[in-house]
Amino acid sequence: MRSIKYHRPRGYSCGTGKCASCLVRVDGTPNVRACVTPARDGMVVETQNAFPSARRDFFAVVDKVYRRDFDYHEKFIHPRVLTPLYNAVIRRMAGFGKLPDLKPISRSRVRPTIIKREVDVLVVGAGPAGLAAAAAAAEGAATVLLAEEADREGGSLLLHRDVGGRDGTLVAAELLARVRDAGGEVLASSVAFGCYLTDGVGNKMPAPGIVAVLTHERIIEVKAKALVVASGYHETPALFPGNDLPGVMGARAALILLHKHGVLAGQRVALSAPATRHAGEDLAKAGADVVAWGESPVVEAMGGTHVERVRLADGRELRVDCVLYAGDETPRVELLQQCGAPFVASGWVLVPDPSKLPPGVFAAGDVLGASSPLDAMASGEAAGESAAAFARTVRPL
Amino acid sequence: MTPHTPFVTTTGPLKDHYDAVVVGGGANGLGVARHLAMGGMRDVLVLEKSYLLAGASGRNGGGVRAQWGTADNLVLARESIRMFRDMSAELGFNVYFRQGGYLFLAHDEKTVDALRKTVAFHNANGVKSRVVDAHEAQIIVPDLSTSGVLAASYHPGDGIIFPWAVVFGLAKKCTELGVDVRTFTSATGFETSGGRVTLVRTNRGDVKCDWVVNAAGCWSNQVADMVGLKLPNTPVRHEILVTESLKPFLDPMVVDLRNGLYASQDMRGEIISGIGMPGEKPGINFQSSFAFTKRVARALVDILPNLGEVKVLRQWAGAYDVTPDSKPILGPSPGLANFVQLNGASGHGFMISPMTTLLVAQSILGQPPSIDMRPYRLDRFGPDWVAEKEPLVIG
Amino acid sequence: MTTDKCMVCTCEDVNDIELREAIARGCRDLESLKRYTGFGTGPCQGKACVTLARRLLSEVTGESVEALGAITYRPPVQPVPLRFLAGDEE
Repeated sequence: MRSIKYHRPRGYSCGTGKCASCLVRVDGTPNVRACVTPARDGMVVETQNAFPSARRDFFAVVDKVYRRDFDYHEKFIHPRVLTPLYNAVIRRMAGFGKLPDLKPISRSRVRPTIIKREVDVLVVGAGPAGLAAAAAAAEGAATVLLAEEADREGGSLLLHRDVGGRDGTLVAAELLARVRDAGGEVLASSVAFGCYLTDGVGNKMPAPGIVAVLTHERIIEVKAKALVVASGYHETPALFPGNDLPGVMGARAALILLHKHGVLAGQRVALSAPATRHAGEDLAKAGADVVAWGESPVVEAMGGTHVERVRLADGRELRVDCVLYAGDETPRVELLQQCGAPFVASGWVLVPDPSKLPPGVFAAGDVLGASSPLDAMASGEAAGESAAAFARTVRPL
Repeated sequence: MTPHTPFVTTTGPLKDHYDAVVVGGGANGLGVARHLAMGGMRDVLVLEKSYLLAGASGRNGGGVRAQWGTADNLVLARESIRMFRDMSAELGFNVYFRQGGYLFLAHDEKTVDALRKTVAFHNANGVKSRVVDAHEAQIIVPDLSTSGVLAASYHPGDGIIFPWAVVFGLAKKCTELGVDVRTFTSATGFETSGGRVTLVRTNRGDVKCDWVVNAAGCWSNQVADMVGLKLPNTPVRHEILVTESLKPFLDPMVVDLRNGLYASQDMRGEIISGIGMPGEKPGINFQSSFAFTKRVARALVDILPNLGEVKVLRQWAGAYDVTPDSKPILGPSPGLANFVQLNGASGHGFMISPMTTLLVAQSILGQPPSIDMRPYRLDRFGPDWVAEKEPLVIG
Repeated sequence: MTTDKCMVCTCEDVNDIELREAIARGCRDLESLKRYTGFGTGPCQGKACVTLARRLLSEVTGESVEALGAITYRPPVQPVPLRFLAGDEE
């Protein structure tokens, strides 16, 4: 697709459905994130914001004309008689997807519903920390609901072939079995999208409030005695010219492509930082040629509609079709912030202060700062036990 | 490359004395400061306690309409629309004002009757609205579900503006004119003597002043309390949400009079929508509720069915600064001639700010007011006051 | 030789030069910077770009990461189609 203002080429980037680099129109619905949408026979997929095509977009001229910056605040004012024309053109250019077709081609005939659930412990995120927390809480006799936004549980476990000597997917499967055996309910493709701490007339509630979860064709308003946020992190982009070119992505995004989808991010790969080494090794094992191992950071990525070359800090210029970056991972603190959690700085990012979380709110795993899957599991286990213990002290809701 | 004009003063201590201290840095505070500076006042200070756009000026949906039900609100809005048209050129900053109209939908005979009367009232007061039938409403908004729509009122001169740009543009113009615009600077108290405010205490030191303008929106009560003045204003939360961006398909702001729903498409293509929540308690509360989300989604999808697949990106809230008659309070305070009110706009402060700020500046500068300011005086709420409540409040 | 842009917010196409100019105009906190440049106001609502923007702000103004804080993450933290929010309540 092409980006909103500059019409720069964009493609697969975060791999988790968080950024806006892979938005396409699917079966008449605009702004669908391709990276988390399974392909189906008969699906109609169209590009957005490009004319006549994403590959050859006429409006890419904007990116060439405005080489440095484009500040829309002091433009399009004169002459005043042209205001309606300016407005019409700007609306056309600034809008992203087209209004959905009134009868979208949809397989689902189920009318969406909204239901209410009460549980002792709600765990958000089924990576190593979340799975461990849910297992510990369920084994601690709490009623547990575990919500995972991806279509498969496991999180970072699915991307590691060596977690304490074992394949991460096996570890994930074991933890999942523990949760289910102890009576915990697990929902995949389910995203907790908000902690609401006031009601419709302004009465305040203590955290975690009502946690709204979007799952298959329904929304669940969850009232939980305790909330464990094990949401992990967002990969923070690296900052160098051309950092948004298709083929430039975070190390985890490349691992998701490889281990979850069986796709190699590129044939000639440059690593921009030592922290991407794990991804580089896995890509190399899968047949990619890693031409730079992060010994010298990437200072520029170049290419037309895809990355074709990089320049490294040591002056080398290499031909590539994939660049991986890592570092400064941003903890996914959104729900915790809504619950009123305070934050402290950790390098360039903010992490929750685990000692100052509101009563009933717990955090585990990479959301507290990037760590290894084993550390995340330990963190989750502790949080799950604490959450279950807390839930026992709470009067019935 | 010429550096751009800064918006705010970022360095240096406050002066010892200002001709006017304006409490509040939104569209009202910056607007009146601009007019005062243009009128020759040399030392004007704007105190914004937070970042620019932290208050209602940064939280509203950008709606600008002349379709009001009382003359006192209508004339302020009608004149403000005229002034918004010139604003981008005057500020040298694009406020992206688009006059796509407002369409008020009526689904029952009683509402249609009320609409007809309101339109007649508009037409008698220089606002060229008209009643349209369901068929024409469909032409104006092709994606509208006209099921149950009996008629609608439509004024093509109403429109949508980009509120953030208005505030940045006003701040820039104020700074160009020599106004001292300070963010993260708040009034903490006042000193009075002989029926006049003589000094403003701030978190950055005390300043002497000749005039004070209370343009603090939902915090106006708190500011007035600092001088022992009781305002009849009540802050009330109103919630709002925004969707992802779409290519343009909706020209007017659509209002459903059954429930007070409003929805419009901004310049970026996003649908901005809000609805009233019955029973909302008074208070300053900017948190969001899920009850609102459900209510507004249901109402939206009912009148614009294509929006079912459109995704909500964000919801937030602000507070209307509500007076008993939903009209603003403009002008001096009884007992404190130089403590001037510029608040109480009850949810439409932004859209009437060009006119209200001009009027207040005129009264301070001793210039004849562009319109009679008596209906907006604080002391109108006396024993002889007869309530003429504004019927067309939405959101 | 002109180099390509360093994109900070890919949702709204805001690059580092645009952020620096906004800071120079007086947007010395994250909230003003967000409102002026539009960073963090797109489909992702500022999930990862805030780290980059805050780092830039910190480097230019000298304010610490902790003092600069975060932008406000309102619900929904992932986009939700209106039809689900309009669902039948059981």
